[in-house]
Amino acid sequence: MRVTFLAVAFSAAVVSLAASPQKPAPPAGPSRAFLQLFDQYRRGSPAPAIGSFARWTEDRVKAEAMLPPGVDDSASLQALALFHTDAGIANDRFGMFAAKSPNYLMLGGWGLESVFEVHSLTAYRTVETLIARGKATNDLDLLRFAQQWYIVALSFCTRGGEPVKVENLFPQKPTLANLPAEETTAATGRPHCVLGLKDKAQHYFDDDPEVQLLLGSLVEPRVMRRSVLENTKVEVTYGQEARWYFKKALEGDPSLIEAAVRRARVLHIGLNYPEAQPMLEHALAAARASDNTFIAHLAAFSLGQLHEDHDEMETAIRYYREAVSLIRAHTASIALGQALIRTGQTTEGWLVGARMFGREGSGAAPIPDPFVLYRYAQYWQLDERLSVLRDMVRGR
Amino acid sequence: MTRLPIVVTIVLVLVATATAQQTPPVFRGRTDRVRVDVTVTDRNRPVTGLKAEDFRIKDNGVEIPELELATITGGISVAIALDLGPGVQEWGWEEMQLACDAVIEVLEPRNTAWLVTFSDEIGLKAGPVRSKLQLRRALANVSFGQGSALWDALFGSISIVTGQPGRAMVVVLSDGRERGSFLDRKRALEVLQRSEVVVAAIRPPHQPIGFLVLQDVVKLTGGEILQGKKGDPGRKIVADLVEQFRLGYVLTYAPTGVPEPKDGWHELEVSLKKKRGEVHARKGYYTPGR
Repeated sequence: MRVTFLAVAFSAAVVSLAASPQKPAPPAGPSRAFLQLFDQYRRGSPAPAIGSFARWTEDRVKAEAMLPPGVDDSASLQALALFHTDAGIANDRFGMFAAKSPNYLMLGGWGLESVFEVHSLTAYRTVETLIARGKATNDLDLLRFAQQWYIVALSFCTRGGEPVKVENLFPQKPTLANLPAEETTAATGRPHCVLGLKDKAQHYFDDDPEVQLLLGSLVEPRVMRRSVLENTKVEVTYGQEARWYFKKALEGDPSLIEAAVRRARVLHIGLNYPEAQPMLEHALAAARASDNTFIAHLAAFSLGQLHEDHDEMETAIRYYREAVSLIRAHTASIALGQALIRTGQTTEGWLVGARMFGREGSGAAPIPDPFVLYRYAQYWQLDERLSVLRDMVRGR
Repeated sequence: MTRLPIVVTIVLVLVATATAQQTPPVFRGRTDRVRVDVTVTDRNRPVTGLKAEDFRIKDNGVEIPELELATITGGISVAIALDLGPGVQEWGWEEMQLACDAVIEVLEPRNTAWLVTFSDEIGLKAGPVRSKLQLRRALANVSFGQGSALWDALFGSISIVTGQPGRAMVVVLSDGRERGSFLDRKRALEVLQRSEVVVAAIRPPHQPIGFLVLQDVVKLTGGEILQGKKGDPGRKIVADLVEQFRLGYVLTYAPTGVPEPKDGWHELEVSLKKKRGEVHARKGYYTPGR
């Protein structure tokens, strides 16, 4: 997001005011407790180390969590960045403002600032160092690590926190202006973190297909049903930027089936373009062939929506059934149940609705719902991506 | 605060609804019979002791000559749908929590209950249970979220109690604002017209306006809306809501001589012949398979 010069100047002034008073003396070095946890994270069992580190106070983290003097090898820096990221995600404060920070700052476009909580800020700054080093030495592994970190950080920041109107986040999207308020709310988690990192990701990794998918997901209209737009004049520019990113992502890496599903959804929901159907059918087949259950579920579900919007209920039910057979998620079950009930298959429809909860009532965790997670960029891959990043830094 | 006058439900009975997974319904009707759940009150108190001949039912304008009164044994099934979205947080979370607790308090050991919560996601936090303690534990552990998928939560809650033995109701505690469901208003209401379950609603105490969508829902299903009272959950009123439902009637009839409408929708009117009392009823039912 581009902010005006005045806004930037004002924000910079506020940030500088917020950050300037009584600068404490720089800490001498890491505490023994931190080094033990850090070592456990790198070479032992990471989960307990993350759990302990996540419970530290911000002041303690600032005072004790750092590399020993003279240690600045890339492997250690990568591990440090990821340890902070893991801890910030574990205590659910990653991407939020630090305690005692001003409530609202017009930040955005130039990364995280000293008003952000310590884990996200430290991770961000460390990744900045790694990117500079990677570029200087043409170290592709370092750049790959940084690129993956941006996907994790941005996806996490799209979920959680206070609901914020999407148009406040992306005011340049004219197609959102006429939508009912409830359709543009409840989509975005930590907007200042997203704003801070989005342009940076674009700046560093604009030609990377995965980042293009991420950027497209961030600017994709949050409208999840075509019926929402029935009384809205939709311009042909609907979701244009997102569609462009998805197209570029697919050109760069045709195996990114998620980009195809997202592009087809924007084309159908916003514009009702006929090419959405073959795109989704192709994506469903490709996702099935590559055992990508999550995306196959989304593709089948989206085909169900498409056919339901065209009053082809029998076909819609067939696709909803396929989605539920892949993942018995709440939304797909609701879609199938309501379609059955509305076509007179009442008994089965209510039964599908009742079954979607599985054993949740006895304390079992709910099945992750792709339709819900879809709104939060690549959040659905968070655990997997963090695991891959940990594999890159652990044991080195 | 609005009192719950009466809750009446009219439902179609199909033997075919009994499936291997479901407990057989208490009332077993013939496939060609219509089931009508009725609650009658007079000055906010349930009217008991009524007979079939005290009721009048018109099905698409045709008065039904012969009604039967079914005996309901066993408890009722209640799904509590609790909104954890930003609206409830803003307009009186504490009172909503107390109102939810009041619903739990009035349940009897023979009743079966579920606690469904919703924000941008819906979840079943407890149920089926007959223990108040389990429900209260689940209530104590809920956490707020973004959004408020009201339509989806209603669908889920109704699904759970559909097919349960005895009479079934959903009590939804919400500010009535929809944020983020898959279902939209049109489709949700279309689905609710095919439901046998009564929906009652409790709104937060500080909410000044808005509750239209839930007004439609309760009207359609024969339920009632209560507003939580500032600093007081209105325990007695919440208790009355469940009690009046529990003391309702189930009427059945064969729709002989009722012309089949093109769209399959049967408009229903339920009233008392010579007795005093207020009757709430579902607005109608769909012919099976439509």
